[in-house]
Amino acid sequence: MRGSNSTRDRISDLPDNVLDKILCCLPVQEAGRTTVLSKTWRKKWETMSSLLFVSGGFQSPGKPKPTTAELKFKFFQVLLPHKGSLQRFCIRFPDMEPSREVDQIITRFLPVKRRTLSSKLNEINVVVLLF
Amino acid sequence: MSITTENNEKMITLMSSDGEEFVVEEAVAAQSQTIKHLIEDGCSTEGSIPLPNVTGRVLSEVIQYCKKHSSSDDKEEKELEAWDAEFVKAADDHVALTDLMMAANFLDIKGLLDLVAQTLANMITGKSPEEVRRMWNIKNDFTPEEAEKVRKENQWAFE
Repeated sequence: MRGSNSTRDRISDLPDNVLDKILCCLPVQEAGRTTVLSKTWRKKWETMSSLLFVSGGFQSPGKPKPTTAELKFKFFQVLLPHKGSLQRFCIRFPDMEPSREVDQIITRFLPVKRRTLSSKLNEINVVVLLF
Repeated sequence: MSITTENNEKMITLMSSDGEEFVVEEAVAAQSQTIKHLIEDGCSTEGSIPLPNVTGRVLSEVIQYCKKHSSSDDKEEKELEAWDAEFVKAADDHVALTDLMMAANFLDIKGLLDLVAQTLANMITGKSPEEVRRMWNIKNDFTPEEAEKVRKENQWAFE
């Protein structure tokens, strides 16, 4: 083990922009779970600059794929308490066809200014850049 | 006066917070946007740049990363990915990783910042809140009532 003071909570002490970078690498479900860690983490979650939705996390093992209606509800639950300004909003759902419904979810909740759509390997990858 | 190598590559001296000196090619040091701007603005005195926020131990790791990334081109992407994986593995405990992250942030090296952020994020993935707290010494400062409320508000993340 390196480092002289390994009992200190060095992660929570990282500057806001750095901790935000770590959280933004996580799918929203994983990032959302950090809210219960401590007061600091709860606050960081609310102001995350980028949200990454991936289908796997919204599907419990052994349960059927969530319907579009269920996904809509999830998006709503995630976005409602969010306080900061989002710079990036990314959805990765394999097997999900680009559809008007997905479009509606995005335009309904987010003031979209620029959007890039890329499909690769059967995967819909919607990256919405908001600025 | 700045030193040049046989290949006429300009060299620059970086000085860590604990006084250690590292002589590197300017192209390597310029992987850091902060250093690049300092060089452009003529802030290096006789080719030496003091970095008061970075210790010698961390700086030597950062330079290793910059050297590798300044000498590789796009064609070697796969090899570079494997190298990156080994590099973060060497900085295995989270104390070393947070030091590296702070240095990458201060020196503004986007690739390194992304790499370490993803590594730390991967450490959280699949762990329970209790496990994450234990791993990183995070103190749970919620009262039981508050904890219950936060859990309820974010129930969607636990389903």
